[in-house]
Amino acid sequence: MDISQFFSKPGLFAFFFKSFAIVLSFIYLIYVLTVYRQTQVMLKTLIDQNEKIILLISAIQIALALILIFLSIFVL
Amino acid sequence: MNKALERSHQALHSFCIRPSVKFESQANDEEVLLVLRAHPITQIPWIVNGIIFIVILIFLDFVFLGSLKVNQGFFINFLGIVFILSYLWFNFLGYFFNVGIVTDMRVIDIDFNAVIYKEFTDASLSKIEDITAKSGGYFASIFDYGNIFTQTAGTEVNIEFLKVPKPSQVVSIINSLTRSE
Repeated sequence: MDISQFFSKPGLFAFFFKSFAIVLSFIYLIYVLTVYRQTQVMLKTLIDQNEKIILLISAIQIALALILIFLSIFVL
Repeated sequence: MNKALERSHQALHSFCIRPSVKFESQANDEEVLLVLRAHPITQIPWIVNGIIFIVILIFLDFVFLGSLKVNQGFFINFLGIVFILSYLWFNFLGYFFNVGIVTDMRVIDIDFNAVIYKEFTDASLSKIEDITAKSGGYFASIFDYGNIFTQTAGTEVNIEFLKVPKPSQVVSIINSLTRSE
């Protein structure tokens, strides 16, 4: 197949968009898991009365990352 | 009780006297007298950045949304908002957990650089030889914040509290504690 033919396919942009979205979502999931783990370390170092709220917000980020992965795989 | 050390939370919890905060290596009979964070005014840059990112996202919506499918546009916006919120949260964590603590036994500096790097430094009050407060610039003068440097004896590490509110009051509290040691 001619390479110019390959790139002019209508679904090609969608394919690259989806691939990019999936990769980015997984990288984001790794990032938020690191932040969540580090938040636990921070709360162990400095014990604060708002501990649960801080952990909850970090956990919400993990939920958002999972939603992003779901969207990138099943909706795009 | 010393009147200067009555329980209070000032400057949006960046200058807390006798707060209900504990830390990892706290001794049973050790009391936290002062918890210091950077002055809230020093945190304005990342808050403004967050607002600018939102404006950029809205602008990009106007420019590119027409050339994307509905689901792609929704995904890009969702991703953008999530990234901006993460950026704000990341900076807030950096602000909230980078603290200076003064107890009745020692002075502690807890630093988390870029969230993933932890540094815990402490020096007992009896080892503190010299305390310096440095404050410079328009904002530091207007909002009364500055850096505090505590010099310790011998090879012990020096402790720094950066951009904390009311530096002169902090120095006077640490001085009164070192004198009573």
